[in-house]
Amino acid sequence: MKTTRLTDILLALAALFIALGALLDAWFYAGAGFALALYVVWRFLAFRAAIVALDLDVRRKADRAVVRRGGTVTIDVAVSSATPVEGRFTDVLPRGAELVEGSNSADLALAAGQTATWRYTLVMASRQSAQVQWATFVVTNGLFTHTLELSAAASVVQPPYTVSVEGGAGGPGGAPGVTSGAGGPGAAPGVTSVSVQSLYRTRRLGSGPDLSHIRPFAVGDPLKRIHWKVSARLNKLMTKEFLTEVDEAAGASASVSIIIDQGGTMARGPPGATELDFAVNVASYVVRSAIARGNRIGLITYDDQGVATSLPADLSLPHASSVVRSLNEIEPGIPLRPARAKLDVTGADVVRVKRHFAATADDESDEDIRHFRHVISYMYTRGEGYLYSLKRAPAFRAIAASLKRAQGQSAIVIVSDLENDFSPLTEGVRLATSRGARVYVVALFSKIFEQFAEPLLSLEDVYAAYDAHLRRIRKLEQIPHVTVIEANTAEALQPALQEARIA
Amino acid sequence: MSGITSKVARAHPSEALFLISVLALIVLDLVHFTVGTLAGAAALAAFTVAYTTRWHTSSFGLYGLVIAELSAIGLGADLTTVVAYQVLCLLLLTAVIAPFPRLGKLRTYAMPALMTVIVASASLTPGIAAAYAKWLTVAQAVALSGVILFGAALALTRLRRPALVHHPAEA
Repeated sequence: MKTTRLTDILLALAALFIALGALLDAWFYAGAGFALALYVVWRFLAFRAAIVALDLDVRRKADRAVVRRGGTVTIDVAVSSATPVEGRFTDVLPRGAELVEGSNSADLALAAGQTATWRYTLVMASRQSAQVQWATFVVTNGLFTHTLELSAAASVVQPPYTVSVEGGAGGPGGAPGVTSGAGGPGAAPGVTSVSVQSLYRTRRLGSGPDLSHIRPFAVGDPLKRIHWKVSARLNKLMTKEFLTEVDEAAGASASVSIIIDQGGTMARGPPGATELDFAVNVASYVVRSAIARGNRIGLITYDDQGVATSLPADLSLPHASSVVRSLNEIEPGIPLRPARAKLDVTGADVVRVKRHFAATADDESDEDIRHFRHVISYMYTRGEGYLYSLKRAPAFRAIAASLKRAQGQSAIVIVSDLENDFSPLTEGVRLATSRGARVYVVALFSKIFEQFAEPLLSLEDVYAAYDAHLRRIRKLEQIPHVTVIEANTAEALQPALQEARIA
Repeated sequence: MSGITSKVARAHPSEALFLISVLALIVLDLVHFTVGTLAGAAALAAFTVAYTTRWHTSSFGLYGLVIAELSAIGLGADLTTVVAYQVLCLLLLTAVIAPFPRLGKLRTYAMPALMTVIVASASLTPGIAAAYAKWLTVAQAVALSGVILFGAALALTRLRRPALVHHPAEA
């Protein structure tokens, strides 16, 4: 509660009159000062009583449950009060939302039982779950001003609206028509878990219900897990990997955050079997497992420009529906800039080379020093410090966002092709593990699809790219509490490989 | 858009209260006719014209309060008249500071009214006791009570406690 300027003036007048009465021995003036002080006390106590008796009923209604990124949502607000009240009501807009029409504030003068209604329109600047969780109501009696903070738990009778946002039509490989099911745009919120699970099934690719992916054979793999058909086609032993590892990721923790790389490179692959589709399948399975186990589930996606979707970990069914909607509407980002030259270095490398420089005379030079001099000069000639660029990197921001919202024991499932921002991704993974989270990285590889578009297929380039991919995987595997699931999307590769052979 | 007001045009019963209180004050001044009270009544009338026609603000309204309180009526009037005069001054003050407590919420204001009476009694008691004991003159006794009440008002208005209701769910 704050005083206004009038209150201070009144108190000053009261003091003046009291002093005047005492000095002039005029009890009339002293009485005037007494009356003024008494008046301030009365208004103060009455104002507090009025605040306590205040009973606002706030209801909001959004014109749509799902809004596209950059799209608008119109909110109807209705405020009523059981007692007469005057004041200024303001909805505190969520992050990522901007007011484009109307006003989120209104001067109210409500009689008992009267309802004030108005409307405003927001534009969603980013994809995220947006909630109007706060509203303020400023009341004044002329002498005192107080700002009530109306939270969802206290005075907003109806739960605040939730807008889960979609990213647009499915990607080039997206399954059309899937969203016409439970989670389509405009559908009423509250999709049941049954429909959520059926939605997962419709999006799942692959033959076996529990087959996750196929990876190169490793010594010690049981023979019965060898995928003989694929091995024959590739002329290389391939092992079937089942969903147990992914299942473990979904079930090991109280909070599971899925981070999906939806950069431009994730669009590689034939329609219906792109890397992003594979990522969605993995995420769908994790979501289903997490829901079945009663774990919180969160979804964060990022592209070349930044974090595209951010749904904090939660357990509720509407939230799960929002996650599914976002998964169904996910699309690969538009690569606005060419892929950056890969610098497979991390902060630890930088620290190591700094120490190396410090311990080495200037005239000495070897391959390491030349290499790292190049690395350091590259970083700083870009005009950004390493940490600065790291914090701006979408991959790092996505992981940091998932950590910020993780509750209890948490697991992070990252699905990426490790091609964009690998260094920030590695640093983010280190940060996550240092905070006690278990990290599962599903590493996708489908560089070969890029070669198909070229007139001359260069398998050497594919092998070189795969070697680089493996090096990145090994680097991630060196981090404690990190499990890398190598998923070369062999299943998705099959039709493409067959096509290549025919060609 | 029902229930939403604009700050510009708002009809308020404070207008009527203002006129009634000012007229009553002028009448009281004129009833206790002296040169001083006549000057006070004239000043109040001039203030009323200026307030209603041009400077219709709370800040300017305070000048009316000061003019009324500085009236010479207190130099010769009896206790009842003075008390009535002070009540009218506070009504004038209420009229120039809108909004004021609604009469429809009497039940809400019962407790603060009781608390105000208790505070006033507590502050008056030492003054009355001192006056009866002849330790202080009447004016000094009233001033003593005023000082106590002023201290209480100062303490209350400087309270920075959080809101009594509607605590945020998340800090």
